[in-house]
Amino acid sequence: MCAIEPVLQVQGVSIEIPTRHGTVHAARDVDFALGRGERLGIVGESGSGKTITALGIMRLLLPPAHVTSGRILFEGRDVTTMHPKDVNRWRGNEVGMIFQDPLTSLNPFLRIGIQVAEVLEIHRGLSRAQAMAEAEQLLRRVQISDARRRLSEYPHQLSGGMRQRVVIAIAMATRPKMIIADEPTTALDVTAQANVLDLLRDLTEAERTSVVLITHDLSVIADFCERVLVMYAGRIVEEGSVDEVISEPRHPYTQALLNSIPRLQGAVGRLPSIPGAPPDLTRELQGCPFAPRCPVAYDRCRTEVPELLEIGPGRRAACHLAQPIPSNITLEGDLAE
Amino acid sequence: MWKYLGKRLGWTVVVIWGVMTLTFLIAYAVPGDPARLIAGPGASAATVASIHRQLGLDQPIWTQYLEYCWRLLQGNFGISFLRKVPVLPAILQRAPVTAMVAVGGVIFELLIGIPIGVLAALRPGSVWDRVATIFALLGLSAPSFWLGLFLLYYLAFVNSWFPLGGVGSPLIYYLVLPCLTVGLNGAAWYSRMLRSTMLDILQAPYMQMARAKGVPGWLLLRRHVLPNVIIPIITMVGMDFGYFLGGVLIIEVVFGLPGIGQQAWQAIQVLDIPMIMGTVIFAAMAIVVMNVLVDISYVLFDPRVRVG
Ligand SMILES: Nc1ncnc2c1ncn2[C@@H]1O[C@H](COP(=O)(O)OP(=O)(O)OP(=O)(O)O)[C@@H](O)[C@H]1O
Ligand code: SF4
Ligand SMILES: [Mg+2]
Repeated sequence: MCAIEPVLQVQGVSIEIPTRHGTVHAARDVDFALGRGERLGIVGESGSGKTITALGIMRLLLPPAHVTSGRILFEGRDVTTMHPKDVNRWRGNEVGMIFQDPLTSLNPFLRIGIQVAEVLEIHRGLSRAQAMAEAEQLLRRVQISDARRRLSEYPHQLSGGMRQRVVIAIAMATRPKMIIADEPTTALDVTAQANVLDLLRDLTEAERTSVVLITHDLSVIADFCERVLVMYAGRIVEEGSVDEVISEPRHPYTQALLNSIPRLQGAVGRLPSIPGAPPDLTRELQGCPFAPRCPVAYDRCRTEVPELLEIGPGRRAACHLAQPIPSNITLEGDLAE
Repeated sequence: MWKYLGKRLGWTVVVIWGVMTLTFLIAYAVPGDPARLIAGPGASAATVASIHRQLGLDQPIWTQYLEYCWRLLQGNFGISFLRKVPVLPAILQRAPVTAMVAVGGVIFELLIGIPIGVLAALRPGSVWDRVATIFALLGLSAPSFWLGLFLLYYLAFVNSWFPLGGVGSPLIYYLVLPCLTVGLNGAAWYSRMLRSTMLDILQAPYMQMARAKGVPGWLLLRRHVLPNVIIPIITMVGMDFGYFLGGVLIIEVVFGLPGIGQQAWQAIQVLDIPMIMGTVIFAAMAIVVMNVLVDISYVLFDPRVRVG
């Protein structure tokens, strides 16, 4: 389901992190689009490059990590070449980000009120009083009880679930067109997880906000997203609608991810464990990075890197065994011969 | 809060008592006889013995210890062996000079250390960061007597911008070099501490969040970074100040300042036990009191301690 009017286009983005032990190829040729109001999931094991990709899109990479190639178009504007001033006008205004750990993503030294009001002051030019009044409304919208009192409290006085809702309030304060949520529920207990996801869904549906949800929990993706990208070793290895990918995975890695979940219902399957370890990201690719762990790998896999190819409408996979579904025309042509 | 302060006070007493006892034991363990040092090299055995009796040194050590404790409890620090004056007034009389060096030293530490540390942290790995590292290395490794003599030589002897030592009027003119010496050594510490604290903060998840909110650079620094640096700075200032108050011994000796440190230096040379003990206890108290003040300041500056 390729979006007609994409909010975000990530085109061939690679991210490298030079370290003492070599250059980490944290993201390789990442390529995808996000439609308006669409909810896209990114799933993959730990270290597969999900966070790095998100940070790259947000221009939040800290040196020495940097984007080495590709373009990131937000409503047609290239984020990678944007002036830092414009980046600050764009971030937190047109895009919001929600981080994994609500316990550490709020500044422990600042009151909740100012942390919410700040975005309104910066991006909407509201006065402190106006911004505070609106911050109170926002806290109500994310179902924080006693909103007025909370404004003058500090993060440590709030529960984890509440803090994550504050973070959501901040991310949604300026009605952004896109939200990137990096494992927004991983650090929370099960009840808080469900609440936060429901809240995120309600708010983004109401505003038609596009969402990129990063997680290694496929059940969260199944519950929340329409489309999913599967990442492995810094590369997208499969893409498709959530239903299709789950019912008919085309990449052995996706299959392994699905197999490692006991049953795809309820909020159980977390931290999938697949035998073997992900490859060393400082090495150049020689063949399919999944080959050492792939149950169906064959000769070609060890020498030739499988490209991410279209294998059907809105479906892509990077595996030599994922055959493109032949279209009717070639079929007819074949028959005609 | 009160309960906490009460507990702290209890510990303070224990710590000071411990320091006092330890100093007492060390003072008596040191080879050398204060009576002989006082009497002079040519004195007869009888004179030395009479001085012994006068000073109470003929008593068993534990009697002397208990007597000292008892007098201390009454606020009596004893009489200086050497100068025959009460110890506490002698210390208090010299405290202002030491306190001024301490204050001036801390001011220089902050003025020099903070900008260097902050700038180094903002551009890690840059040329500036390397210059700051070299500064810190020099500052940390230069012994204060050497640094003091160096400054004296170039700024007082060669260029006569400052006096060669001692005190006079205006006092501040005589205090600049000693304070600068203290400050340069300390600033090296401050710059390192600030650099690492700032780097920690800059990499903290909440900073990432703040950047994701589009907070512009200057506001980021002012609102999200600097307030969080205040606590470690206060901690260091508190420790330093307490430490300096006990006498910036080497500095006072190098610059000929009539402070607590110089007095202690003289006392050590003649084993003037009451003066040594008095100075050590005074220093311990200064450190402990500053510690308590630092703890109280956490309540003022750290919301995590303040509420809940
Ligand atoms: N600052 C860094 N220095 C060196 N390597 C890094 C750094 N940050 C990330 N990496 C590496 O980049 C790769 C991708 O990391 P990333 O954080 O994007 O993974 P992730 O998919 O988000 O994993 P997780 O599920 O654990 O959050 C990992 O192999 C990681 O080790
Ligand atoms: S390309 Fe080969 S090794 Fe890689 S996933 Fe497909 S079958 Fe497995
Ligand atoms: Mg991550």
